[in-house]
Amino acid sequence: MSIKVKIEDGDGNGNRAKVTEGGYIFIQDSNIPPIDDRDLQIIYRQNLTLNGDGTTTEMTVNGSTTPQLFTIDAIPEKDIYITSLSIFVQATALSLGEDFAGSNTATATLELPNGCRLYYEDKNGEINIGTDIKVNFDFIRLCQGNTPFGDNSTAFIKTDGTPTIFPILSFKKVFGFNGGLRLLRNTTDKLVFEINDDLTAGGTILPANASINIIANGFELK
Amino acid sequence: MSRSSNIVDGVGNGNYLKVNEGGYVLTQNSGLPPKDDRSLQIVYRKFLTLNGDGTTTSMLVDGSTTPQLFYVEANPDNDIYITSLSIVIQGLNINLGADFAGSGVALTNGCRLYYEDKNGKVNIGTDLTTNFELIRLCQGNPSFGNDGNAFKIPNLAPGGGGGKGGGGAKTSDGYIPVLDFPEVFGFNYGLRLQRGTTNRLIFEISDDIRITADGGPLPDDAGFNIIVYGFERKPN
Repeated sequence: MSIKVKIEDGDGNGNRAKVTEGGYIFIQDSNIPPIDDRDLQIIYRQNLTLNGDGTTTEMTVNGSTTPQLFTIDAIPEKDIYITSLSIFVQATALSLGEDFAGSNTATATLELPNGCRLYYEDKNGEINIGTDIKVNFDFIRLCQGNTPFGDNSTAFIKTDGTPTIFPILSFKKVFGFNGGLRLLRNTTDKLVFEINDDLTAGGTILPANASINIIANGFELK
Repeated sequence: MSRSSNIVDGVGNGNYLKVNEGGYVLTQNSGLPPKDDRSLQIVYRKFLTLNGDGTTTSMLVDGSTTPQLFYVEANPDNDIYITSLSIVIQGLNINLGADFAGSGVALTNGCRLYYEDKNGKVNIGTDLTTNFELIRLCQGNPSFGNDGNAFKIPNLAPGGGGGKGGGGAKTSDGYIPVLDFPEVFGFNYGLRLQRGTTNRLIFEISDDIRITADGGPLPDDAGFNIIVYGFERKPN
């Protein structure tokens, strides 16, 4: 035998909570956030850096012999929630056709031989986010065309200054990770962009003014 | 016989839960995710493949006699939530009129996008006979470009995260619509393929959309594939 309980307003005005015929309780959500003075959330914005060194942000490196890893690593005391990645690819004569960071014009390389890979590591192992990233358009598609702008041959390309694409990968929008991708505190969790070709600026594939970097945006949770 | 009760703060500060005159319990959502160290959510990104073989991503096949099915299917252990589909369709002189991948005409039978769960076969999009039907299904997402170039990328690379998108290795103009399940259908977490079932998401082709080099009517630089995005949800 269970005891039936009616939920009554705590101020003593006699209001009682309603439950619908479907068994749902009526709730109304406040338009304002709760008061919580703990400051648990901290803005997070970091470049992916070579081996997580915190310094080397430029991704035009040679990964053809040994894959080069640009990472963000978990930290000891706080969870990191990565909500979005801002990808930056810049080069003269950059296009969404057969081209990676100006490779077509510079060296007639239509696509990277091996391609790049974006993945993360957590207790589920290595999970691919994007594989075979061989042309600029693969970044645009991975990000599902976010942010869309431009027209015709300049769609998605900023043409002021050196031509640039800067797609945004939203983990909430694209993958349904409402809080973002988490790097759990005090673990070896990491987000990795892996380069498997010679992306040296002025090297065998890319023009001298090519530039690539990725910024991770999100928050730390204490 | 029932008993009236107040819900009181558990820390002992004397705060009581409020109920307003409409009978609503007042709530406030934290802006923060709850702490849960189990890592139950895993990124999911896969092509729809022919008969779910995991390999054949190009949809330029002959479905005129026997419908050809490209799908992803449920996983034995984890639920799959599909948040979005990224479609790439390309071909020389592709346009939003009577055209499918640069063929210059609408398809005769049209394609169908549907899923299967315990409710049976549920259609998502039917009679997809032209490029524009794909754009419309995705409600114009993402929107860019003007006039004859609206939604179009010229000389689009044939890639797409997994090799060549379609039949030809050449570039050609293309459309890149994205179907967002939360936005379009109100499925807040996306479309679920329940673990341990035969649930599937299927794109059915009922026309001959092979390229010319393979004996079909589409131009050799046509391309057509779909990538599924979302997450796997572990039970525990």
